[in-house]
Amino acid sequence: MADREEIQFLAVHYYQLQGLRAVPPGLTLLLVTLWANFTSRPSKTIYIPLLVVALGAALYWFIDRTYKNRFGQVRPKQEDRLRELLVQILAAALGLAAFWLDTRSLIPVSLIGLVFAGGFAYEFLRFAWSRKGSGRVYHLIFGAMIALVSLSPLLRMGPWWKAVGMRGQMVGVIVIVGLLVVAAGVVDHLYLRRSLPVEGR
Amino acid sequence: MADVFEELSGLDRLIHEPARLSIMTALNAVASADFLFLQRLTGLTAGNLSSHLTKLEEAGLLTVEKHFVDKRPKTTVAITKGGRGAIESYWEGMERLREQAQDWEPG
Repeated sequence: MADREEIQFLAVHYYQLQGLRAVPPGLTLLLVTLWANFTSRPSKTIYIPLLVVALGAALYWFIDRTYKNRFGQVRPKQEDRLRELLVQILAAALGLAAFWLDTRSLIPVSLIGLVFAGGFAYEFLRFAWSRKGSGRVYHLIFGAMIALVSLSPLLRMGPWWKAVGMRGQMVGVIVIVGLLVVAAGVVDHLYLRRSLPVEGR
Repeated sequence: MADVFEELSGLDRLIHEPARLSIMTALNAVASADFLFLQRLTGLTAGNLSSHLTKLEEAGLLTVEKHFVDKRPKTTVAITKGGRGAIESYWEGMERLREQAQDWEPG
């Protein structure tokens, strides 16, 4: 490898490109939401989401260890670490606020879906400065898909979530988010694998 | 045309080697990286990477720290201030060379 831009891109965004890290949270979100959709209330199977969260945490630990042992570790610059921390705090605060508002059904759109759509768009835009990063256009496409289903009542698309067996729009949107988080993570991982050769010379 | 040759002769030969150039470019973008990451990045064998790192360390361009994590040996590599200056100056030189080469017309 001798492409300056690709080397810098890989080094600076090494953790973001370790896409399998997104699979446990994506799967957990998907499975817990499906459980919430199909369980009857009061639920006698509350242990299921707890088990799913525990398995998700164990899977994340395994993936983290595998990346460290097979791909190595990079310590980002102080300013990059700080920026990443601030983005994560902001995303978590926005997500919680959106979830709280969605559960009150105050407006006919899914705010939690729009927060995730914004997150996917951000993932694309922050890499778009580089030639390599602009290839991650699937983040933008996934974000647009989530924005579309989140805004569907305003766009007079009808209750699509009923057609797929979901109780409400919020549940339907979160299931789609979970699926797309997993899909984006797998594609990011494939990019990382292609970019880092295994053979020694 | 003479400028192009002057620029070429001024390039840092230690950094100009492709594997060392990759190592220095990557380390300049982060605080530090471990041996395994650099091996995956460059595609070199452990022996070859170790040899390149030794040359760069001897030139004062980077520091190599060896320690144990969970009873396993771990090597962490970081670029020095001098190393940052050297790689940035190398890429600036390459950029000037590229600009001069674009203006050059064979006589």
